[in-house]
Amino acid sequence: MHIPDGFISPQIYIPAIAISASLLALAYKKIELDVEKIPLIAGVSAISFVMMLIAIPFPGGTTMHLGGVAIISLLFGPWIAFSSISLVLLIQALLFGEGGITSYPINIIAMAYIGSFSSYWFYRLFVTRSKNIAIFMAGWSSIFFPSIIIAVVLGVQPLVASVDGTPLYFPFGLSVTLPSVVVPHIFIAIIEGLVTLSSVKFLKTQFRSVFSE
Amino acid sequence: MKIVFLLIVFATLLFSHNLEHTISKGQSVVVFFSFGHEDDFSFQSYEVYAPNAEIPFAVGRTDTHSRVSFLPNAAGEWRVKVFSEDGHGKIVEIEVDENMLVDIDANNNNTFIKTLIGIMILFGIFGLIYIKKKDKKNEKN
Repeated sequence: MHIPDGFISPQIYIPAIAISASLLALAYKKIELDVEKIPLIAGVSAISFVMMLIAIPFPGGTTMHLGGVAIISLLFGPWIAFSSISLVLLIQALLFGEGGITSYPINIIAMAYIGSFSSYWFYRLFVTRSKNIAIFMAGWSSIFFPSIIIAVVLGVQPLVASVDGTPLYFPFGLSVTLPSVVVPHIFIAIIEGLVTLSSVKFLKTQFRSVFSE
Repeated sequence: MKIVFLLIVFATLLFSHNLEHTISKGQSVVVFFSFGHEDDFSFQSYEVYAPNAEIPFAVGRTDTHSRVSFLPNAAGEWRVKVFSEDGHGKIVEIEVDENMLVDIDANNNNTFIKTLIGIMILFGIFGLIYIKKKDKKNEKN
């Protein structure tokens, strides 16, 4: 899901820099870190880092990866999830070229911000019915909604940055990106939901001292 | 006889419509793309850019084994850009020397080492935050 360098036009990534910087500044103000939780946040962030690097092949030739965003969001809150996933994405961009530098703001808006907050709100939406369904839906939404953002951002590139009909950046339009990005992610989101459900339940039972409910 | 001669002269003009070809072996640069599984980036679009060029030197699709190959004709930093419809892709910068050769070791990356470094950086940053928070907490008490 990480957008590489060279795919996004300045018309998109420059406003995205402003938006992502504002979100990070807001996160810095909003976050109140509990000292006892920091080692576990580090551990789960490291797991998320590795999860994002494991490519899962999908029929049709594409590959996807899990995120672990919802796990952090549900355990520690959406702002902490947003910040730690932003850090994870930065390390991936710098070390692996997994997601570009110019596309980094879009990647953090989609994967870290939308991923964290969609999972947080979906959990709150479904928790009255069933806690398990709520955790699953949180995981599912943390992949599904960012994939829509990524698909739209990629798909509008030919519209915003073309010369004589020749796209300067990502060449495929919305009619291609929406189905090719979003449809496979509907299925990987189900796996993400199940992983989120099992991980959250496991961590909450194994680290009772950290999570006092 | 004149007619035959004219026909021969006229026939030579037709050679310009015949697409000639030669086969040779060159020192090509081969870039293999993969998500970790064999041949999982085959038949995807690529563009190869010569040093300081904005117009592609070559365009096409990766072969059945997810490879891009090209014959460099200038020293400098070549760029290979690959992209698929689902938004996956990469830009690889390849340094080609005066002999049109590539330092393979310098252009390859060690994923395992980088993963370890990434995890260490994460724990390092969180470790520093932990110490700082712990110090503040101790100062208050």
